[in-house]
Amino acid sequence: MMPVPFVKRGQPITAVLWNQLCAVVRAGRLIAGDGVRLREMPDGTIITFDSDGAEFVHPFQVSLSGTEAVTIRPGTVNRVDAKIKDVALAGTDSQPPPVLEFGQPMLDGEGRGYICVEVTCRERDWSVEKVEVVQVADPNTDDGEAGEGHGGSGGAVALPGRRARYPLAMLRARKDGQLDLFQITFFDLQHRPALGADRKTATRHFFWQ
Amino acid sequence: MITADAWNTLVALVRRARPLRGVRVATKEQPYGVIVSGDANSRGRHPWFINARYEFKDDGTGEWRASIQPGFVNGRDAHIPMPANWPDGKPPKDGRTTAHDVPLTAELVPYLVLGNWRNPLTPDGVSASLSGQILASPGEGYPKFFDKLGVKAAAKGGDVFKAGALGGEPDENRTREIRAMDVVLSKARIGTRLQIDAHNPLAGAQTESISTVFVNDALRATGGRAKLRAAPKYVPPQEQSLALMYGTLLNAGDAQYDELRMATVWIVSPPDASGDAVPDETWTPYPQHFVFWNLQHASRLIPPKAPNPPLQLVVPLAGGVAQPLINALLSVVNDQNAEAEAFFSQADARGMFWST
Repeated sequence: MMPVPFVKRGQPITAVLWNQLCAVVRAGRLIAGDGVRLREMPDGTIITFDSDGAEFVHPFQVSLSGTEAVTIRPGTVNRVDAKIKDVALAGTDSQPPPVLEFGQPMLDGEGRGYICVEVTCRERDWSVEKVEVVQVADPNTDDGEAGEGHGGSGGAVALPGRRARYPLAMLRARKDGQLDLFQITFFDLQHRPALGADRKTATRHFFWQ
Repeated sequence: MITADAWNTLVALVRRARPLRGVRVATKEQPYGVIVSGDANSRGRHPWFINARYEFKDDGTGEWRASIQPGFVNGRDAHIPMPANWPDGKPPKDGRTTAHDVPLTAELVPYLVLGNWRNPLTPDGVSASLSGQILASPGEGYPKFFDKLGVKAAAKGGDVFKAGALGGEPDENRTREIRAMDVVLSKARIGTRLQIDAHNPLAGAQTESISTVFVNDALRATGGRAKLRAAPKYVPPQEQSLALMYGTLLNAGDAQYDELRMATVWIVSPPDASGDAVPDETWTPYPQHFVFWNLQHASRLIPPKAPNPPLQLVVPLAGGVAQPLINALLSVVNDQNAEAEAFFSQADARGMFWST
């Protein structure tokens, strides 16, 4: 952009000069970028950036460790500790907090995978017996392989063996081979099954935070 | 010759372009301009967080777009419909011209185009009363926060010939315009439809039988995905009623999806904007979020029990000749019973959303 020249006293301000000045003023207009908010005032424009939020440390917080493992902060389902290979996520006196090593992640056709809690209910009263963290391509299939992805009526699909899964985080494989992680669960979980008429099978499972 | 008016307008324009320091921003004036420093770190944004900004296209025109922090429904990422040639601008190889759904977690993040703003300052409609008065409904208005920014008052409504009915009272300190759009989440599910079958009352002692049919067209078309869309103003899905033979009013069926208003994007003009101004890059967006966490969704889906068989009275009266007459008389009772049964046990597949 050419700078607008100064004029001497008595020198006419031509249309060319005027238009140059207008162009400079237009070029100096502010445009909000990512995370920026502009508010035009009579005496200027207020520029506000989104604040830098404090780190939110929460239950079931999943962190990638390379592309073949994750660590998960402790969390519970109906106050039952989630575990990896029978070790609580917080670790024990004799064992450090466990790492979920899944190797090559199970992914669906679009490169999606999940870190899930797999809840197993007791036969007697359908209370939560065991909570295991697993990596699957689809939380709603028996073997965790890619499937339809939903049960049609919502809630988590009732899996054989009085099981159901709830996603903690989603993995997405990128073209360059890297994994992106999207956190889904931010709080400890509550769980209730919806039982069938025989009270021996569940029709679906409900989770809430 | 430059007139004083033209010069003053230019001076005002230059003054307005001067950057002033806002929250977490430092400004440093230099001879060649003003250095603006700040922190645009995005940590701490919640699911469904909306960032609205003005983007210029290749042809020089621009549009407001809303990008949305990935949010999940039942653990699955929500989608946004994008044009067929998105993201590289090339038409798809299969010749498809319809929009395709792109997940919020995609590598190239999709966006909603905010292009059909509603004006919450103007009346929603005008009607005539029996006495001949022409009445305007009041303007929708906006949150009180925008009062402090100097947004014009909304129309009060009432007699259109009275001041303030079609536009707010003029106030020299409140000269900004405001517009709004809603961001809506739609989740497909199994739906229901009422089916009425006609019978011969003389043979079956029943004229109508009522049953509920389950339909899953929307569920199949979307793969059960939740989809986001921008709407000028969110209107909840309407229920349709059906009057049966004996006047019983039943739900004729439901939409095959549930919807939730996720946010309203308000956008405020610079001062002294005209009433018909359209938001451009000089306006300031203010997203108002209604949902802050990932969602769960489930349909109620309580299937109805099979209707009871119609009441029949089989008597060898007049060698069976009277049977059609008996059936016809009974059909009234059976039809009314069928309507009552359907009324009390009609399937309802409408769902609900929940989070924390």
